[in-house]
Amino acid sequence: MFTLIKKWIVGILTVLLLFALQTSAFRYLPFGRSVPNFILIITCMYGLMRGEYAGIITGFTCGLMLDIFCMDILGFYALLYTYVGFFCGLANKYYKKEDYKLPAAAIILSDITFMLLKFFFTKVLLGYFDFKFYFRDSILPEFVFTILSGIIIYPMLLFTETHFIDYTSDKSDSGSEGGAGVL
Amino acid sequence: MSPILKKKQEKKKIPGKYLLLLVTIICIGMMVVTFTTDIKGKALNSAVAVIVVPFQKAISHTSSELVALADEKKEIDELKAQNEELKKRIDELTSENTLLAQDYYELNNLRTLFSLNETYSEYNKTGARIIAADSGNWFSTFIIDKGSQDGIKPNMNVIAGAGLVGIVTETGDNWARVNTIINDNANVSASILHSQDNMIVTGSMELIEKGVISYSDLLDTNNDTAEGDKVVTSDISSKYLPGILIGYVDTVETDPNNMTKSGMITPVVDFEHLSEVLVITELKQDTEK
Repeated sequence: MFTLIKKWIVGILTVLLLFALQTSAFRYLPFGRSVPNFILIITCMYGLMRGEYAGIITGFTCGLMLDIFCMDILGFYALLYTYVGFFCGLANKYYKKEDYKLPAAAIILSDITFMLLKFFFTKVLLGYFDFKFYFRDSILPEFVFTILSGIIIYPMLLFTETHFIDYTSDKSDSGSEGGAGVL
Repeated sequence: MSPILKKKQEKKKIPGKYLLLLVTIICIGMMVVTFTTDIKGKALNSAVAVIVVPFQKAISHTSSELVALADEKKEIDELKAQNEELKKRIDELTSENTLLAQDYYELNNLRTLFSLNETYSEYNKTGARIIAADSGNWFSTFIIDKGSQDGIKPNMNVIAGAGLVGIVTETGDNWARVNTIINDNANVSASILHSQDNMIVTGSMELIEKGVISYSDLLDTNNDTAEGDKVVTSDISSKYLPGILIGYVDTVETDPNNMTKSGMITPVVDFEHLSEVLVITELKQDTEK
């Protein structure tokens, strides 16, 4: 039970921090107008590390916050991020802490899919078909920054997951605190 | 290590599929509701504002401080050089000022004659700091740190320096979202200052890369629109207050129909480096009454 509470607290704080970082801090950094997609990384990684429940919840919350701030309709980002979290959560059973290939693949795949869907729903449906421009101007830089920041964030997430949340307490193996797909 | 085993057992008990289905239905429901009814959950807005905005404010503040700290050294040298230059300018300007002061009295007199004492500088304004931008470079909207508590309402005009930035589209208790005129979906009814010919200024994320935005439907009655002409918001706009500077005409091209003209405008606002803006706390609807 205690582990579950710690998991929620760590999760909420991390999500809030990354959300605020993504929306506020990066305007001051020399990335041009591109911003690494922290929210995607955290959704993806919680899905992968904690399971599909955590993925869905993280994705939904982050997406909803983004919707409220950035979109005219609610639910668009929430839906996209929820699915990202869910599909990453499906890979949870193959996930091992030592393995860096699976997280990398998960971030790359979900980032590409996410941005293509975003392009389709927010641009093509409104009548902007200039894929080349958005690819060069938005998709490519965002993709590169997301991957790069993923390389930095992933070890940090792994650190918080393993050090603040005591997964190794094998004695409590009866799994009373199991709700959200504990690793 | 047993965690993997444990996890598998739990998965069988509670499949995430149902949660996913539930969330999907909620999301689609929200989309439909917000799309059709134009109401965005007031309660949600304030809830998020209470939780997220303090975080954003803190991070926005610290990062701008850090950047400022880094820039400080460079700035000191620059300022010294500038100071010298400015001292010279002051002398020039003082002499110029005396001349202008004379003109000013004359202008005031003439204005009272024409009873034209309402100018653009007399709009009530309130300063606001930008605390968050959209999560990427897909849209050009941003969040400011004042909201309905500070009297900000949707459709209020936002300016920075001398020019138009955009319009408030949504407000929370302590935040408001601003849609800029460079955004793909932004259209502003504008006019050439000297001829009062109307046109439509359309934002484009693609063109702003080159530092311009486009305009169209300019009925150039006297055929005298040229590069460098001032473009201001027009009187006939339903949301924008009249007479706010948008930018300067960059190119003029005659449309294939030979009636209207279109081309590019260089905005006066530097959209890449916005950090503080002014919100005009008057609505066009109210001023008309």
